[in-house]
Amino acid sequence: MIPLDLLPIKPPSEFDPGPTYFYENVVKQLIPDFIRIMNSGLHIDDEAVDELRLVLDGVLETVETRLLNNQLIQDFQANEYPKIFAKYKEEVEGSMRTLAFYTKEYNPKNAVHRSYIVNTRLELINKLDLCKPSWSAKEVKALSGYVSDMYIEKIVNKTIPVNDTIAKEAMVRLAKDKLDIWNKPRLNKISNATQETLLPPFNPGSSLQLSKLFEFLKVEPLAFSKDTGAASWGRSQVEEVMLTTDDPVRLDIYEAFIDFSFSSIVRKTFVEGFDKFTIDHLLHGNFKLFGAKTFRPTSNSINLLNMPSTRSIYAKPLKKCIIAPPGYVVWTIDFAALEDRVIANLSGDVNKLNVFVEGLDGHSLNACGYWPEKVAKELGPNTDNVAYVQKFKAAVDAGNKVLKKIRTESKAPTFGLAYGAYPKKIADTIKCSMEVATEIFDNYHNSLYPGITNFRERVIIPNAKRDGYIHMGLGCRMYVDDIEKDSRTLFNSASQFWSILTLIAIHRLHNEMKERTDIVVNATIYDAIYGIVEDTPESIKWLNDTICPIMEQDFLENQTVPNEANLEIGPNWSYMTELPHNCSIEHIQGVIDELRDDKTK
Amino acid sequence: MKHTIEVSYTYYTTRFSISKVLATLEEVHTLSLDFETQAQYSLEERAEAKLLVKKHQDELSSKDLRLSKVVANCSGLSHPKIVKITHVIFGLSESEAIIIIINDYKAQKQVLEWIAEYKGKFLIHNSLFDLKLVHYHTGKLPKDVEDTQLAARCLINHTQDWHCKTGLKHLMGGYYDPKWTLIDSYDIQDYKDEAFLRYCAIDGASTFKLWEQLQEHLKEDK
Repeated sequence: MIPLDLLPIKPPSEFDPGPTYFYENVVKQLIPDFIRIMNSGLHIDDEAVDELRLVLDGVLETVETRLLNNQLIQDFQANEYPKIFAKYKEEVEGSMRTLAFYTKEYNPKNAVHRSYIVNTRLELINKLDLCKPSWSAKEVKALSGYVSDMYIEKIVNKTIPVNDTIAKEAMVRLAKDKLDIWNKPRLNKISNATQETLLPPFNPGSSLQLSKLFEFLKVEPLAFSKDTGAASWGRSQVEEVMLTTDDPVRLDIYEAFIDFSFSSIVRKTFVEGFDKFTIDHLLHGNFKLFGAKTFRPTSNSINLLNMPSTRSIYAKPLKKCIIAPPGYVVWTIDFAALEDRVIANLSGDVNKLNVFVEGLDGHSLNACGYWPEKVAKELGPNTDNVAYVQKFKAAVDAGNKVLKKIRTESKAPTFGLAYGAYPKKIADTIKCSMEVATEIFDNYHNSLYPGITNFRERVIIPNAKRDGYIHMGLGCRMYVDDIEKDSRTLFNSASQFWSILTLIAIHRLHNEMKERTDIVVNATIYDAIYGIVEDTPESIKWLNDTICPIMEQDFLENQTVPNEANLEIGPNWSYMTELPHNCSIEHIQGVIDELRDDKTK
Repeated sequence: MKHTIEVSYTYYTTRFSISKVLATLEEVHTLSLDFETQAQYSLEERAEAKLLVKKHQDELSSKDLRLSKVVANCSGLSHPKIVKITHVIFGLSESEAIIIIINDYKAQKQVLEWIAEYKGKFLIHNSLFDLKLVHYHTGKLPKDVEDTQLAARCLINHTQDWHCKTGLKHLMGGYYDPKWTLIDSYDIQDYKDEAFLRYCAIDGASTFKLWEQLQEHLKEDK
């Protein structure tokens, strides 16, 4: 039996075959698939990697210039400078020395002491013209004969006592000169210090500087470091803050930070990774099966899960680096909104199901749910939710500005709410009062998606309390000690676990392929599978006709919303053309010809 | 306090002795399996490549820079293409292991082919690493494999990461000589180094012991 034959299965809350079943029938079966994936490797285009390097350099330069020219950053730097200067001055002054440090007793054998005492004496007897920087013993002897001075003679005979007044004066002069040599450059450093020389340009990679900047901008922290307790300003926090301002000067800073953050990830994870781990144009990453507690695999060298989203400016140049070798095209197939479909099926929530069954627009549905009164002012009372949401979307499409604004505003809280955010988080995200945030929270859980709330409160949490674990599916369990603390993890894992359908599909595909060598699976990221296939319409048709039904097989008995997935092919990961299910050889040939003609892709 | 398990081992280095011991192992129905590996490139070559990357990257063509980075970052955990197997360990029980020291490519090929064709059950902790090497060099995989790390994870998966650590030393460290958990350098020069061979032997034996323990839990669950 192969894992796909276990499906469709009863809902996890009704049937738990246990971890042994899971290990024997699922986990163990997937081992050969991952070995094949790792040994296949991803084909890398070195030239595209070099192009990506240039893109990154360009973006980082732009970030630097943007920050340098930004008025708020300049103000921040100007505000920082006095503190930096004071600290610098303190440091430099701390390294300066005193006269006492250099003042020593006269030593008749010391050549420098001799020179200083001779010059001091000559000055006293008004023979300044004879002074010179250095006096050898021989020269002093000759001088003694020339000026007929008893004191000089004593210097020659080394009979000057250490407490002699002239000797003491000479030693003070020597100490002053030495002190001057030591302290003068330090004093110059302080007097020559300027903001340009002392204060380095703002570094968006420094968490300390980011923290200080946001404090300066009077933006409250949204997260804190677990280790240090200090304010933490990661990309997601900056993205949240971005939603709270229309000020172009601030937006410019935030955008620059986000660009910098993505550039760093792409440079560190991908460009460096391509360089370090690509052998003979093949990148062999490492996958870890059951890497995450939701059973999702993790990967390293390189971490493909860090791939930027399609909206990112780096998505295209980065994906262009992963190509098909000659005679092949790359292929990918991705479950459409798998997590949402899974939660709809597991919870049976009517509104969530209707997003797929009735094709409702999710943002319109949420907008009608979050702010029913505001929407009612435009559309009248809601008597049939499906028709009402469709009417809302139609009005937005027809140009209703009020509803369009409401729909746009609904996007910000949705992500957090789906992952268990509380009113405080919503209030922080969309900058509203706790009262408004609580209303949105209540509407989301009680009116909009009561089935999902019920699933969490009446299935997940009680089961975890009863068993000390939740059963995610197929016998895979997640144990828990502190249910209250980990309730979000438990709830999110219940749906994220079903990403396993991607791995089960890979296993089934490998089984169906038998001895075929024209198709290769070479990566999986979240709910997507990637590979290469010979660029013949026959091979591609076989793949399309085989993989789509595998992916779309129901995973639950009596599943309401089916899974959806479409095969795409292209010359590299950035340029893909979708193939309809069961499309003809002629259609596929047309797509291949188009890809061959368009070499610029 | 747990009783410390003493592990005995025998090692084989010549191709003749390897053939003989592999023939006797064919009759054993369950073996634990583990590889010790090193980078194909010597420490000196890697140090030189690191220096090139650090100090002379502007003088290198992008092809040479890439090659230097591959060499500089190569380790026993890299892709099989740039890794050599130094020791193959078969655990026979919780206290006995056989170690095959691999001195050349032919010996490596001989052992890997034998592993791919073995009819019994292999117990491997993190099989993706070891089997990747077998598959890369032979194009085949052994028929019956139990992954003790994955089996353990299935039993102890937890919301908190620290509850579900499944490293072999973390799970079995308490049963064996504490020195076992302290070895952290695999770049040994002397493949017959006594301390390292003992370390290898405990790796093999402890995987066996872990499987026996997991069996009890897995049976209970059934």
